[in-house]
Amino acid sequence: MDDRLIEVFSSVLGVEPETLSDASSPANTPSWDSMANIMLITEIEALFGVELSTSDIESMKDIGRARAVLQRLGVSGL
Amino acid sequence: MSLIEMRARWLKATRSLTPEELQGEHLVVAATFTANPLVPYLGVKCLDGAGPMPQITVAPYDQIFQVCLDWQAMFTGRAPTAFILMWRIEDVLRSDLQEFLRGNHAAFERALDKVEELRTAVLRLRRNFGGTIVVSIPPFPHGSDHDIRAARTGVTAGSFHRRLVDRWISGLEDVAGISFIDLDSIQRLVGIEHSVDARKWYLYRQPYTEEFWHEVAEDLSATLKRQRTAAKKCLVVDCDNTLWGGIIGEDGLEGIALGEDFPGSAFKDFQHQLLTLRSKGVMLAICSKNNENDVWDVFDRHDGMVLKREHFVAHRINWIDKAANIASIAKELNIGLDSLVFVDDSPLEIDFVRSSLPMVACIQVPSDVARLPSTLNSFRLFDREQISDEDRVRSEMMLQESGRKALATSLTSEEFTKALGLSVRFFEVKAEHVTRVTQLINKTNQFNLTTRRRTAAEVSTLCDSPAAKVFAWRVADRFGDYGLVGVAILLHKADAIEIDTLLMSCRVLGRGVEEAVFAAMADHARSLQATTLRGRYVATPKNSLVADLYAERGFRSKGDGIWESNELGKFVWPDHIARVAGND
Repeated sequence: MDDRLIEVFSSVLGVEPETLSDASSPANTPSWDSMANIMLITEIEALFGVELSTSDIESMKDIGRARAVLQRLGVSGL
Repeated sequence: MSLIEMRARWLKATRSLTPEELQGEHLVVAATFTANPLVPYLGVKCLDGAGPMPQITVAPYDQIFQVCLDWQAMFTGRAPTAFILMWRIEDVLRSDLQEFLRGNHAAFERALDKVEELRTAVLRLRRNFGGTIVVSIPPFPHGSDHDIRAARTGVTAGSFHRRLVDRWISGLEDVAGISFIDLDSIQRLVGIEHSVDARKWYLYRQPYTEEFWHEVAEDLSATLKRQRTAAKKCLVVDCDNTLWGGIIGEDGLEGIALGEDFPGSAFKDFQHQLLTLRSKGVMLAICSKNNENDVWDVFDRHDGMVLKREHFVAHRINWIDKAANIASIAKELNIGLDSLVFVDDSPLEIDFVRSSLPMVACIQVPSDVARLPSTLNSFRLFDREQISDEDRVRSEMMLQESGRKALATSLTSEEFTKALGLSVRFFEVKAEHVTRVTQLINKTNQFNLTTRRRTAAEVSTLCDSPAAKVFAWRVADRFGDYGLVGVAILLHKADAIEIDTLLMSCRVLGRGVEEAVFAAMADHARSLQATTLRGRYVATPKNSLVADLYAERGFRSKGDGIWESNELGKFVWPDHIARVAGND
């Protein structure tokens, strides 16, 4: 099934979706720098219609934890 | 396009290109805060204007001073074509503002000193960089030190901001080649609550919302576009349900809506807008399907009318189709159809004009007339970077033109030229002429041999260059002053003078002014011991008028559009034109 979250990361980070997983993080993804982080927050909020707090943002240290934050905020189908 | 779509479009566009393929403008954004979210919106707005893909570079965070003082060291790759410098009181003057709010009024003086330092740095960049420079007007400071809702904020933080901005603007507004991006107006437009994002500020030093950045991009792209394209010159308006509410032929003088009460008040405000546009150099014309006497009756007798007959340079009040009428207005005013804007309430008329004359910008009166005044503004068709003296008196000059036409019909063309009593002053361009000269360079299409467009900064650089001379000329006759109507940029190349740019407003065509200009250029060549005048004709869809200009004056073709003459003695000042000596 389509993974909308992976799609967001793939388009912002400029890498193929197949190379990303819940374990992907700034440490193992070269294009994931602080500027990419600003864009990721913007796109995630726009696409899933949520507003992230600073602690949400700071806890999104890899794709898996971003998914957990969104699920906690009630985003379904992830 | 939604904001999310714009961002996706830009990501896609930039991903598919290598830096070498970016051939458009190279815009550098330097800010005292993180400004990266601006890039996709600015990029997409620039793409919308067609043309090649722009490159947008964000300078390192908070390096405005370094950029101004030594941009060459920071940008060693492709040279920038424009610098966009954005600063905020919250970043540059935060401690001064805090102290000021805590009662130390001397802190304001310290803030002014820092603003002056920044101004000096911007002026240095202006001297060392030939492209476009845009600087921010800082927004009303927003932060934890004061609250916009608190009592007396307008007196404390407000006064600090106001006085500081006044100083900043007055120190730069008269410098040629510096434009403003008004972050304060944008913050007012969007609203502070919708402009700032505290989370992104604390996490990334990025203070603003996407909505705010989108408006900044909108404004910046309009500013950048203005550098190279001309504003519209003439607004053609319908009458019924456009200048007033209702139909004069059916509702009569008492029945139309125009005055202090809605909807008449919206039409009255619209008329005020037109009058303001006129003072900025926009010519007004009427195109209405009506009995002419009915329309003039409103002008002469309705006390709600803001506009008077004499505010209009042309009118077509008849039952002929509007496209034909508009085309004939353009012909009468001697301007291109692409200089016209047409406003009408009828979707049928708008569609008809749009399809018959696609170059004319058409605006339909909104169905809710309360939106009429803001609709006209939102198109930004008449935005001008700077307003020259010629702009302010353009409508008067058109009325003088009517006097000339009356004379022309009573005389042969030779008698007419003599009777005009023409005088020409040919002079070297100085700083005070740069605004008008740049306007002419960017808007003259027909009598323009090479159609090389230039920014004000580029013109200033040429004026200072020892290898170039920028000349201009003013023309007057017994009916009035045509103003500064022509520009020649002459390059000194060994024993030749190369005519890089030669252009003239069509208003003065066919009266011998061209001969006077060639005589003056030949004089200039002789003064430098040059023996040859070398011109070039670069054909465009609009300049066939001057295709034979050089051939007609005995220049020899050297191929590739290049023409030469070494018979400088042939170019003599015409007897019927007075030569006004001295500088402007």
